[in-house]
This record gives sequence, C-alpha cells and structure tokens, in this order.
Amino acid sequence: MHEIVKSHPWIRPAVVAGLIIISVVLEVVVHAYLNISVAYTHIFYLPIVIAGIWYYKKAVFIALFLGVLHLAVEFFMSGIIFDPAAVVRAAMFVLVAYVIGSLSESKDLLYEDREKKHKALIGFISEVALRIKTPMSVIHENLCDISRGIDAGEMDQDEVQAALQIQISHAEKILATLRELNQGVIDEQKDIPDSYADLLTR
Amino acid sequence: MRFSLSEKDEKKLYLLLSSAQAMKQANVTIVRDITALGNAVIVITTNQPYLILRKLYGREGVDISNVHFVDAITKYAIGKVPADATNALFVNSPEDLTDMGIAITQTLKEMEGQNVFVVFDSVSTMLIYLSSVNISKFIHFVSSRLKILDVSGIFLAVEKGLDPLLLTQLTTFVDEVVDLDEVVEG
Repeated sequence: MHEIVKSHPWIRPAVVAGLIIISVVLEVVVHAYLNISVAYTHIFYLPIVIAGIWYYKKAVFIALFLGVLHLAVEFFMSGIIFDPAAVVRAAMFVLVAYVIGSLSESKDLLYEDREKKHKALIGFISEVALRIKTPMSVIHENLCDISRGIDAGEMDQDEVQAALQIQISHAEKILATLRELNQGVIDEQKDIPDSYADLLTR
Repeated sequence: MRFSLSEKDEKKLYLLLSSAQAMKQANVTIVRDITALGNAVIVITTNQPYLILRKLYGREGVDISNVHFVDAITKYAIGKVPADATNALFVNSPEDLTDMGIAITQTLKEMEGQNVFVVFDSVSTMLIYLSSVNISKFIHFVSSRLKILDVSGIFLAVEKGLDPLLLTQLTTFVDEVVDLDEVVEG
C-alpha cells in the first residue's frame, strides 16, 4: 500500500479530496435535508485522520472547514449560532486533527532521523571496508609478487628490500587509517549509534 | 590480456579494471604496447617504486627511454631516491596531491610535442593513502587536465576493489571502461 501511494503521488490528495466531498455531501443530505445532526459526523474523522497522517498539522484546516460547515448548517437548521453540541463536535474535529498531525509528524521525523543514522552507519562501514579490504588485497598481491620474484631469482636484494619497505609503509598507513576512522567515530557519535561507536573504538 | 591501444588513435581516457593478481602484468603489458608503437609513457605510481618498475620494464623488453615516472611512493616509504634515477620525479607522499599534480603537469610540459600516454597505477592503491572522496576529486583533476592537453590516459584499478559510488564517479571522468578480466574471458 505504502509503495503504491509513493509511486502514485496523486492518490493521497485524491483520497483526501474524495473523503471531504463525501463529508460535505453527508452534511448537506443528512444534516440539512434529513435534519439529523449526530452519528454521521463520525465519517468526518476519516478525512481528518488520514490528512493528519499524510499532511500532519495541515489537517487542522480540513477540520476547521468541516467544523465551520457543521456549525453553519446547524445554524441554518436550528437558528442557534453556537449550539453547544455542534461546537463540541467541531472542536473535537480540530483537536483530533492537531493530535494526529503532531503524532504523525514526530513519528515520521523519528523514522527519518533513524534512517539518516542508518545511512551514515552504512556509509561509514562501506568506507572502512573499502579502505581496508582493497589495500589489504594490494598488500597481499604485492607480497605474493615478492615471493614469486625471490623464487624465480628475478629480484635482487635491493629490490626485495625496497618492495618490503613499501609493504611496511602500506601496512602502517592502513593502521593509521583505522585509527583515523575510529577517531572519526568518536567525533561523529551523533551520526553513529552508540553501540556501534563503542564497538568500533574498542 | 587483449586490451590493445594499436587501433585506438584518438586521445581517450580509459579506466582499466583488473583483478589484483593481474594488475602488475596489466601495467607492464600496457606500457610495453604503448612504447612499442613509438609513444611515450608517463607512469604515475603509488604502489611499485621506480627502482622496481624500471627493472621490471627492462626485463619485459620495454624501451625505458620512452618511459617517464612520477613516483609518489619511493620517498615516502623508502626515504631516499635512487641516485641514478632518470626521467623520474619523486613526490614526497601519495597523500600530497598538490605535489603530485605539479609533478604530472611538469612532466607533461617536458614531453610536449610527443605522443604521450599517462598510466596511473593505481586508483586502488591510492585508497591506502586517501579517502574515496579525495581520490575522486584528484582523478577528476587529472582527467580534466589530460582532456585539456589532449593526452591519452589509462587509470588502473582493482576490479571489485572500488565502491559503487566511486566507480560511478570514475566512469563519468573517462571515455571508456575496460574490464580486463572480461576481455580475457571473452
């Protein structure tokens, strides 16, 4: 469902608009025409709650619209400007819209924050793996080459010494990179979950 | 190895991907092929030092007089440069990208008028000394410079040793990506 809504961005506004239209029709038919002012208003919570989930606090505007419409029809039917029962219903629309919108927004922000941290962690691990795995394979192959060169008698002592010094230098640099990356974890603890940061700096 | 430059007369930049085992041989074969056609080569090395490469090329029948070196590892790892070094510039460290850039520009200037190929050995080894972000920036700088000067360039890298993002970036800097293992298999 989430994927369908994501891949078809018109679905959300269409659903909310459709539910608002249904609510308006109910308000006109049930309230204004049949003179029933209760029960049907529960349907109003559908566009309010769905808009709250998708559009956060903007759902308050829909709640205000439906609340004012309800009060207006109530005034038209009974002649009372602010019928207490209608006012309570309208106020509930706004309150529910605000609460659902706030909760949904904070839930999504929390999810985004978690996703961001997760991506940072994946990026960090990828870089660590890349800067260790590839260099290690380079050193491994270089050492194999040195061994083959010695076996075949192709390398003199100077060459072997130079080649080994290069491998020592590479290895030292990999260790320095590890230390640097671990320091990066300490400095950037905001982006890396604490448990992972602890594990990587141990 | 079947990658050949003989039929490619236009100035292009290549990213050559090879297994770690075949990397050294790929370097030698490419340098031999280029020099055999009467072209000059600038080998930028961050893995094999000048001393070893010179002897290796000599053993493999490469005309060493057409090979220039920008060696970024000898000074850093061994501490001193060979007294008899010719056609070679030594950079203090593979991390010193400014010096490396100057050395490459200087060598290219010295070889103006010749048909020059720049062989970069290798992107994977640079990962020991630099972050993938800095490598990407440096390769972008070098490839832009080569394009401006109308010089061919070959960047060697270990196949499967690069992360997908870096590989994608490198792919955009070059004209052609050649997987040497696939060429051999094919």
